[in-house]
Amino acid sequence: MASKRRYLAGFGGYLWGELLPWLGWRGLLRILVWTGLVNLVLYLDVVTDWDIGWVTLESLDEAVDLVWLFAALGAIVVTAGPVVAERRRGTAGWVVSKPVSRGTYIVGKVAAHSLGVAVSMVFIPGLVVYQWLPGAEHARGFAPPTPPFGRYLIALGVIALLTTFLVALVVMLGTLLKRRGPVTGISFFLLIFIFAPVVGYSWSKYTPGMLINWQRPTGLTPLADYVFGSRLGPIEAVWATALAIVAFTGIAVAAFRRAEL
Amino acid sequence: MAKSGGPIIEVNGLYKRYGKVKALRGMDLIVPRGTVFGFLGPNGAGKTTAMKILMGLVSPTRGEAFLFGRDAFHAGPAVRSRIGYLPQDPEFHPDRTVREILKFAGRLYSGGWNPLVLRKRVDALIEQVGLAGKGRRRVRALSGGERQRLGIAQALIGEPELLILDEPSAGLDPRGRREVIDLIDDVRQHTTVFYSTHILDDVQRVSDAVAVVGGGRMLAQGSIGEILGTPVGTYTAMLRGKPDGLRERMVVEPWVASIDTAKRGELEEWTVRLADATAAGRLLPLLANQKGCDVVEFHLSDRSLEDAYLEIVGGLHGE
Repeated sequence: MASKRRYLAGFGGYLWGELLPWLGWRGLLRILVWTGLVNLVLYLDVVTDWDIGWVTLESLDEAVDLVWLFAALGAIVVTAGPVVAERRRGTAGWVVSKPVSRGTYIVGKVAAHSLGVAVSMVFIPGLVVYQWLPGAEHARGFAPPTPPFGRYLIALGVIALLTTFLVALVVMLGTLLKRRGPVTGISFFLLIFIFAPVVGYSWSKYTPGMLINWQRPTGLTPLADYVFGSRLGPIEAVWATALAIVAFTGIAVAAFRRAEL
Repeated sequence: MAKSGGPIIEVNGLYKRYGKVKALRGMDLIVPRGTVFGFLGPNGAGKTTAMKILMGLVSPTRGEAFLFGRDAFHAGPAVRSRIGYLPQDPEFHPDRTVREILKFAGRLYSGGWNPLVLRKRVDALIEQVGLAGKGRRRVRALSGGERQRLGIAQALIGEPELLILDEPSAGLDPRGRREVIDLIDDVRQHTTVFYSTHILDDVQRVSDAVAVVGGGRMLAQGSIGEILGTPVGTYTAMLRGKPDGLRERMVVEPWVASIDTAKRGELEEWTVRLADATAAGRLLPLLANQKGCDVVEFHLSDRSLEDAYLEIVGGLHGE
């Protein structure tokens, strides 16, 4: 069972191992609870709100916001625990005592949690929303157009990109700070700060918040607007978010390579 | 830098400092291939730190450590694929089962992806370490001893050439300890075993060689026989009767280092340590010719590893 020295040695096995908690009965339970929660809140919000004017568009705006908000909170909570706890209790040391590079440990953690959050907390709850939301509008006597599925899927993909940003941020903080409280606290603070709608500055278009929270003239968020045909928020924000994911991961790898386990 | 054909582990002048604490102070160590090597020392002697440096988990402040002739801290996954490591107090993901942990560990090796091979290997290891029937049990539900067995199983999963075990018998009951020693005995044919322990009986039973460390330094290293030394200098005599005045006359002799006496029923046991081993020939006639007492028994004292260990580390207490 020999392996060559590689930067990402053991990546496949490690990624598979990290994905296991997202699969099986426990993973299914997590998906059911998360999907149920998001959809229940959305249902109560939409069905009881008779003041909604643009019907599906505004309902969809609510849906995108809810899926994002729940997934963002979930990404921080489910990532902060394992990263900090594994280091404290020695599991991280155990993993890297195997033929696994330290880069693999960090990149695998970011990849597995990003994938897990994206599937369990973004795509599945989001797709369930897509199934019933237009029908609920019909039941209320409205006949709005059905949101285009492809654009809706891309909108969920953007939310997944943003949750990956958060996962990478939390992994980086967990590697640097070693304690769960500060990691979670700072992550929540940055969630509010980074995703606050910052408009009017030359650098605004580079902030992840431009993809989700920036209010369009329609009064809707960019993703909801995008689903019904508008342009996505500034493409620079997409690239900047992707670049930030790489940077956070790189910083985490560099810090972890020097860490004493 | 790679060295070939040398010892499997080589440590030269290793220093490690944690803030103001000096965990290692110039430790040297050589572990030959194919040996079962006991690593002994009191708490805080630097055993775990030395093992962590060898595994690349901790970087040394100064000095060199080699595994298979390669720099231990920078050796990378290629070298670690040849090593099985049991950390002290192993902690695994508490929500995973025994089988999941072993499969997870197995997949980290480049040849560990074949599901049939992995399954067979996992089944065999679960049986081998005495966890049969507990493969589906979650780690959080295992006792301390069972976790230790799981730790040993995961160390063996990659069929390593070198096993580094930090306190493998910790937390085990006497039967579990015996099983660990038997396990070490089983794998010794194709695996070098380097393990730390406090249980000297186990070391004496299974080890080819030992190193005694203390205060972050190597105090003694060699085969069990070398560490025990040739016990020519200490004799035990069982005397019946009253050897009045003999003790006082003997202790002033320059070739006698010390005499300890103890009552054993109607007999008196004398343990005589000679300052000059060549003077052994004078001792028995002196005792035998003493009026008022008979020599019932006379032999070289057995010296246990514990005696040797305590003697070696004894000098540290003043530090």
